[in-house]
Amino acid sequence: MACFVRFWGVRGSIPTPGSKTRRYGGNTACVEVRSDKALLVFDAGTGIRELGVELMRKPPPQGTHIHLFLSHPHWDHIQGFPFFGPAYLATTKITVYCPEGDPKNYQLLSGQMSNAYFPVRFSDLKAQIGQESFHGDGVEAGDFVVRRFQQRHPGGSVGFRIEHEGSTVIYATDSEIDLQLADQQQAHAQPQKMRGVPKELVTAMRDANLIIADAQYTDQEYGSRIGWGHPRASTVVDLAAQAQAGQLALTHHDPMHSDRDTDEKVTECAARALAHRSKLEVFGAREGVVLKVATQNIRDTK
Amino acid sequence: MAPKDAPRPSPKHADLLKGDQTLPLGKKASAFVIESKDDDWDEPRTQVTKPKPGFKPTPTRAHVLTRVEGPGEPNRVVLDKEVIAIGRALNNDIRLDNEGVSRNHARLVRIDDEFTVEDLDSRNGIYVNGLQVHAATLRDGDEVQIGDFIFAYQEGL
Repeated sequence: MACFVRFWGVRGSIPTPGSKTRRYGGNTACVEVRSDKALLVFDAGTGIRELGVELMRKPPPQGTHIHLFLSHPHWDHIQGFPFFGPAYLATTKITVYCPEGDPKNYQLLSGQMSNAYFPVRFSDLKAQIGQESFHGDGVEAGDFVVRRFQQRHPGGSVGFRIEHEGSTVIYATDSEIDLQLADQQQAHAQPQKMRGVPKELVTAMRDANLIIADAQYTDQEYGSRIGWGHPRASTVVDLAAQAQAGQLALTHHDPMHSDRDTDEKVTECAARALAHRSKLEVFGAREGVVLKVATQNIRDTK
Repeated sequence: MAPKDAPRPSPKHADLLKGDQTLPLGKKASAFVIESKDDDWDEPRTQVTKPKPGFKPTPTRAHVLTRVEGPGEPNRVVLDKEVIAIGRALNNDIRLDNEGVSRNHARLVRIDDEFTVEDLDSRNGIYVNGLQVHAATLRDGDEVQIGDFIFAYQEGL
């Protein structure tokens, strides 16, 4: 059986509603990964509100179990949770996954619902909301196995390797890979050359069917944003190519980028993958798009 | 042709602003000239008009799918149903008689006045702007490929 990936929020930093961002979307980070047995959600940016609307259209009488994974608790990754409809239903169960011995994700997710910030308190939500720790690097969630890996970001962030019956999806946002390059001088002097990305990230993403990765900045922009916690999109292409992934979805689009800007970024990244003679398919993550991820994509004749 | 007694634009009636550019809009020496049969540029004769009172909602426009590539004549389909079936079988709303199209290939579903295209486990899949998708909420200008056919989507209002 295949699993399905749906993009609910692909914008970085802050929601950007408006005509300039209508096609890719203005909601902050949220991605749904589901099989017929389990529902996983990665990050709770404003996109999770729309996911909640969708889940509330026909809530199953026996309830929904949502496995919620947070890359880190910065605003654009948690701010949609107070507006997540299923959290108000007693039939919903939500498991928030945290690093072992570090309940920060859960505490900040709930802390944003104190009266000073929001009229409904976290403790008043009717859903059964609990936290679970990663034991080691992996955890089972329904018929998925989710492994985590560390990323470079102010305050820290984690990426996730999501495995399901032979197919693999990577969710890796808020990761400034450019600070981890083997030779940053070379990346600056010869930007067209393949960059030496960290081996541990290549290993974590190896042979993935789909990598969903933070690709916020163009090469031109990055110079004035070093240390802000996000990479050059071009470096992400090099990482995905070295990991021999099938597809790369560029996400965490910069709030200053219009749809046309994002198109240009994607076009440049696709050209870079070709120049590396990689078979990687590069595209821009876009709200409302659902992808089927399977070990074999070409189906038999019906 | 406007009625004879219709209000006439002033020689310099308004400006359109685009970034730093100002594009004058009026009857005389403008980037956008609003023509009048009356060649008399007598400014004092511009009539005074009053807008009609009351709120006017933005006019609505239908969602439309236009075939831009594929066998047969190009055609235009107004999406005026909640669910629109696409495929090779006779019972489809949009019938595509081509070997690359499955009998029941895809459907368009209206949710909150937006259309989503969904693959019905077809053999060759559906592509939106070149990317194979299982489903996608469509936006103005999107190109949907089904078999050898390509459709351009015009979003309604």
